[in-house]
Amino acid sequence: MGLESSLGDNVLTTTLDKMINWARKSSLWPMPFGTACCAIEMMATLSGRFDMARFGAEAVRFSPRQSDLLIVSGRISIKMMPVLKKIYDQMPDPKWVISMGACASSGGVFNTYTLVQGVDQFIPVDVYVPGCPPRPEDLIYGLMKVQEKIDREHPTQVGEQAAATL
Amino acid sequence: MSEETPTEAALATGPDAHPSEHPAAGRLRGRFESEILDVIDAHGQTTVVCDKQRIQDILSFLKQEPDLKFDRLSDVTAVDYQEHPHRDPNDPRFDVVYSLYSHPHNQRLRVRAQVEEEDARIASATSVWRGAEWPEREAFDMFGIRFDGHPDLRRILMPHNFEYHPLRKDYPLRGKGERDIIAPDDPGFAGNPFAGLEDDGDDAIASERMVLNLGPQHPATHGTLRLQLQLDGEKISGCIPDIGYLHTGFEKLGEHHTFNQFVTVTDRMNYLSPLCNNIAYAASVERLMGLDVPERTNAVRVVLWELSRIADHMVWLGTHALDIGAFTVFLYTFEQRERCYNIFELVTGARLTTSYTRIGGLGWDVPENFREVVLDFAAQFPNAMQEVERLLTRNRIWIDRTKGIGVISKEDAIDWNMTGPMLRGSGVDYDIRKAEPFLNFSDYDFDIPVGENGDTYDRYLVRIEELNQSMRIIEQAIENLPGGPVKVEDSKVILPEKRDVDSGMESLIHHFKVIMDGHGLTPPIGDSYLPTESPNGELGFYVVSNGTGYAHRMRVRPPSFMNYQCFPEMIEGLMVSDAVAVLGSFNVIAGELDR
Repeated sequence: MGLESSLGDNVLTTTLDKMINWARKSSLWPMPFGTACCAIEMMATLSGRFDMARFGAEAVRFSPRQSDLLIVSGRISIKMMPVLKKIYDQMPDPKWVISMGACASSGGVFNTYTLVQGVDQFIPVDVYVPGCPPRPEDLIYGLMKVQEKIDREHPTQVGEQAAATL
Repeated sequence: MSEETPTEAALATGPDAHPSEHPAAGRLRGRFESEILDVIDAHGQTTVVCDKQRIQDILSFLKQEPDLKFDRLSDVTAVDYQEHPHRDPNDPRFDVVYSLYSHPHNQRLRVRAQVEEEDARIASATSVWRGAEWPEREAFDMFGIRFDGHPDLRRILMPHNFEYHPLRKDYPLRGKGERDIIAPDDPGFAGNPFAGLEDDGDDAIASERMVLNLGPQHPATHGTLRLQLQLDGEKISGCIPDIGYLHTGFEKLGEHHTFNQFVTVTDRMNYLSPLCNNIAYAASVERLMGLDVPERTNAVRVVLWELSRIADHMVWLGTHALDIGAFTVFLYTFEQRERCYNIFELVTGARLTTSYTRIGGLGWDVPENFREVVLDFAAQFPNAMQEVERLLTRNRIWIDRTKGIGVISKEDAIDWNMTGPMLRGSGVDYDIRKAEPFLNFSDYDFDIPVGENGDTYDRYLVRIEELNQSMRIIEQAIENLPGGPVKVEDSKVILPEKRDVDSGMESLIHHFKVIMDGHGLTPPIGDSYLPTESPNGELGFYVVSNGTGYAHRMRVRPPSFMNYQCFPEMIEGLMVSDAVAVLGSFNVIAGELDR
């Protein structure tokens, strides 16, 4: 029908938005900000049994300038928070943030003088993964939620126009 | 002191107390008659209470005398006795507590020196043992006690511009609002830490030194360690570590949780082997309460303890190899770790945060197929290890990167208060499972692997052999797993079975009393410490009880913290890439390092 029928079987048509979203969500490069227990489960997610590569997100980059998905996994102390803020600021747009586990999301069981009670007080968070620590399956689900969110974006629209469509 | 409040010593030893039989007690009394205020024998441990004026002489006497020879200072910490119901209000507010160990005589001694609030200072022990450096800094950070003569008395865990001393009793658990703002400046250092140290003197071809910041967010520093390196070309000419990026306030939480609640917190301290933390903690409180757990409890604990050691060493090996560039090993070892996780999950219901122990036993018995799954694991493990070893042990690159790198001698290792595989890699035959057996480890037949050169490669070999020995212990324990209950039969300590609570009045009352503060689990007034051999070294909980359901002080003697303090000395003169290899051999667990 229409244009596609004249192009034959080798060409697909889509909108630019969809194509950009598809590219972005299928090759997220995580920046693992792992500090505590959750980091161990994040490592488990990356290794053989759970294998985050199945979701296109195995290219872990410890340099914030090369990555677009910040995974905050573990408790963040008042001494660490400025570092996390700096890392977030260094990541180029577009970027997404997963707050993995109870501590990063809310301070968890540690309602103490030294722990930041939720990183969302200082940096924006896209997806919260509950659990203490979350199982690797939970983190994968969180990653899929980020992918869904990316899929709803309109990267070709700018300014107020883009905001209106969100 | 009034009649109603008996002294701690009287409570501990009873009315017909006889003089301590600890060899140090008599020797100290003979030498420092007026300084030794009291000697307390309780829970199988001896504490010497002394005046702070000549503390340095007392400590160096204890170290130097051949018949005492306390060559390792296991821990230095402080206790704030404000609000302690059995402390005479006229007594000084703080105690500085030294925990000593003698390798030649296999003996422990605790020394407590009293320090007033108004003049909160005491002579530093760093001139006697270098290993006093970091624990003293921590005591300064947490309690504000100044150690005179300390080479570098700065804050260690809290940001350098933090205003308070958090472990003091008058500082609230939730702080004073510090956690709601981001510090604008560098939380670790005020200015260049090497300022004034760059001077090359008269060296005509001196090059400019460069300061390189490594971490805290660097893959090789495992997330939270930070090093300021001073480089001369590619060689490290100075290193100042900065820790505390994961400081969580465990010790403060220990004072605000009941004894059973705190089990959940210990999970998250060393997250590579949470069961070891659970068990070490429960065993420490049981020692303070004088509880003897059933045989089955001890045997199950031993199996889980050694499985945790394997799981811990698996992460160490995987990440250590990954840091040096061997990615495949990481995938192999994490597969084995997942198998350990399967067993933990089967037993405790959780992969990582297990919370399996209770004071006086275990939460519940192991499942019926426990023996089977552990034996299944044991059957495939040697093959998997062989695969890993084939990749590394005789690998030319691995040997080049680790042999002769990060050497520390026997004497230095002891002086720096190293324990565990780090100490054994340097050739010291010391394992707490053999030297001071806990959990009935003396019933099992196993060997202690010891290295020769004290380099990174030897530490690797020691840990690899430990895995085999752990397997031996597990097989012995699982084959002879005794039957019977897994909890002590003491309704004041252990919650009754839920089905009994639903049907019986008596159980309902016991349940209520154990849960209600002040009626159930209340250890006697006093203090107790139990050293255990965790995968990284001596892990111990020093519990000070004030007779309520909450601890007055919950000190963790962290192996990583003590081991890590000599790291700068070990890497001086090496390349930056070697620093990564050496760091890997430490297996520093940040959660336990910073607590």
